[in-house]
Amino acid sequence: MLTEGKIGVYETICIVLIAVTAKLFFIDPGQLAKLAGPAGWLVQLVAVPITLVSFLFIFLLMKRFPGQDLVSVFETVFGKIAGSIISIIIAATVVFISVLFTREFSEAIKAYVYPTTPLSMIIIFFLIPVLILTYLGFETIARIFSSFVYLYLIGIISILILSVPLYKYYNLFPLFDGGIGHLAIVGLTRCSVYGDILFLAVLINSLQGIDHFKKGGLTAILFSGMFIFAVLLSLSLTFPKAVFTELTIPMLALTRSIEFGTFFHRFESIYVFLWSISAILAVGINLYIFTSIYCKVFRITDQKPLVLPLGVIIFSLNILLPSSTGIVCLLKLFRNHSCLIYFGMPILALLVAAVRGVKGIKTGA
Amino acid sequence: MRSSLIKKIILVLLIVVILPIGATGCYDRWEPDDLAYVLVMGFDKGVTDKLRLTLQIASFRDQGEGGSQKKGGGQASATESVTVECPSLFTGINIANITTSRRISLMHSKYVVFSEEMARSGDFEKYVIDLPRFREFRKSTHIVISRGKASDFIAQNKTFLSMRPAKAFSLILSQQVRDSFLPRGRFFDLYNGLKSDIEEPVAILGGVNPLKLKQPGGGEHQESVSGGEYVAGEVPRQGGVKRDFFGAAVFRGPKMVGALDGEETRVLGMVTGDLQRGFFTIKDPENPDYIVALDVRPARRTQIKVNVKGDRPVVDLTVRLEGEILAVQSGICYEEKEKKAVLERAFEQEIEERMDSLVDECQNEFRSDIFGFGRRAVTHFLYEKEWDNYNWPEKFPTAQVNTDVDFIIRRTGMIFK
Repeated sequence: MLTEGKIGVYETICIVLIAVTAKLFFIDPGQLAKLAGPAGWLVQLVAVPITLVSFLFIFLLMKRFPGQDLVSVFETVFGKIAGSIISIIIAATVVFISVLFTREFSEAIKAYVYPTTPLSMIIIFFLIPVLILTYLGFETIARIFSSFVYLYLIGIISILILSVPLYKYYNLFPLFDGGIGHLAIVGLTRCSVYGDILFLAVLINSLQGIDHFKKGGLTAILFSGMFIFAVLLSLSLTFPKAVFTELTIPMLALTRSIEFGTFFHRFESIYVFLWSISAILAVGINLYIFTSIYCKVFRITDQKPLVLPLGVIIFSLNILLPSSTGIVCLLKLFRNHSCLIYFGMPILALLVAAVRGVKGIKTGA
Repeated sequence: MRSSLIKKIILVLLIVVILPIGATGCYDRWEPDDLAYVLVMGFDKGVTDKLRLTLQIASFRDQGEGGSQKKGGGQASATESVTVECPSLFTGINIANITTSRRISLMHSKYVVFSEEMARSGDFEKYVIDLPRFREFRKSTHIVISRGKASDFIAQNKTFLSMRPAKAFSLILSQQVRDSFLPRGRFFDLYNGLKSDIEEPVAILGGVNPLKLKQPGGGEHQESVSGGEYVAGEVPRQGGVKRDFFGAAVFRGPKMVGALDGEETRVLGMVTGDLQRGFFTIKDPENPDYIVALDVRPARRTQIKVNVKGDRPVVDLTVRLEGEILAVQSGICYEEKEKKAVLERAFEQEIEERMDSLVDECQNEFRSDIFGFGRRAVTHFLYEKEWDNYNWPEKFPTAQVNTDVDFIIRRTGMIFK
């Protein structure tokens, strides 16, 4: 049995908040602008309620099987082999997004900060802290998330405040690129951004009870939604649609545009550190989730021996990706369909459990 | 116990060895001395290749070493220029690199100059749209349209009263905050204007001034009232550097279609909000042989209301200004309540006339919405198709624009009769 330690609601919220919102610093906002124009922020009004409902289904599933984590629940509901396969699919999805995120970050750093540094070197130096995090285990990761969250939030809020002179309300018009129906469809697929909430179901035994799971999950979704909403609104107010959609990393473009007089400018130098740390934490938690699922499926009691091989695999997969264009295509594919894995699988498990009348055994815990 | 200690020592050693490699960015380490900082870039049409690129680079020579200080004082420069012919800016940078042992960097470029010939052709867009793709280029850089060749303009782009070109070139374009004879002219605004259909961009107008004043009795005598009715290169002055910034280049889509003089640029600034403050001169309303000078600044944000319900859009433009009396040559007591009102109405009428004239010019001659009325018009449309069908660029020239200027004199300077 893997020992993962215990965390509180606060740490739970921090983990989900950073894991979800770290995506804002990369190509996601630009991709969303291509789909929804200047109404990307409104998409969140659809995506957040859908995520909340989906999370409530996950909650019902976990409540039905007290004392069991998601891997164990899948095994109980679908049987050992099928359940393990579903868990491995989720683990593979998590690795896939970790690879994309690592390469996305490395490409961004190469494009904006270190143009002549070999990509492999950037990836290696990015993966070292990520692997150390994974090695040290969940409790350490949770503590680091909770320590960093203030700096992270202050960073985001300060960008939003410093950009106020750039906001032009007319950049929001015409608001609807393809109508309200189109916006709802985009919202439905974009709930995958909040898919990291599923991590809580994998780690539920560290959360000190189902109530903590529910409270932490709902609060984290609402907070993440609020921040994503605010950042997307800020970007839409700053850039006309035609410019917004062509930016590789809109948040970086936003901070590069901030200036006060001839002295206060080039703010992005400060924020690069913020983005690096948030990216490291986001990939760190993803890789830990992979090791956690892997250990639970194969009954391994310690994740530490897996860390180095995992690092080699992640590095190799990163190097195999040919170009940033390929990453964008894969990310599009992932964003459009990953909600089926993140939310579809647990909901399917709940349906099967309800139909078959499978329930967990109540323990005294 | 002992093996744990050894592990910790190995870990610390590893961190000590690895961290400096990562933290110093060894591949991308550039000492300030390794780089040649381009301050100004100039784009002209090429002869042997598509583009004639001029780079004005900050000189690393000491002030006393020569080159930076000419004998006899006056026009001195702490920069060096290189002109190359090339197919693109980026190849041009590579070619120009053969002239210096340092790597040419655009990280601190202050403004980009395009020749008017290029700005009026489709070539302007070709080079502009690629600039923000390059990591060293910043959107806060200013865009200047030179009335002659960009290379000639840069040749005269020297520092005056300062030996620090980077600071001088940076400050010279922020002077619009002081007198507003120039538009804001940042690449950020120009690019947004080029990409969107709710406004048309403007750029700073530059030129080379011959620095020759007409001699007394030289024939033609032209009297200026406002003092801003000139374009770059024609401002009557002597002394200083030959490089002139005055007025604005007007674009329709990606092409330059005309130029505004300094006074028109100020009026434009009143509408767009770029005007921070300016000293204005008008004829004395009670004694037209004399003038009155006023220090004018915006009192409130300009109100623009656009009604798009009819076939013809209706724009209601309200500009609110406040000011201070600087000079009254006639000695009339404009400090008195009744007289003050007379002066206020006279200034309002003067600005309204200039504004109507500018609107007319933009609608009928340039057919370019440089005021950004489209920004307000677009707020009436929720769906992109509706906005596209409305076709604002075609509607703007037909718009009925009602201007209203409200001016109040707040102070009378250091004299109160």
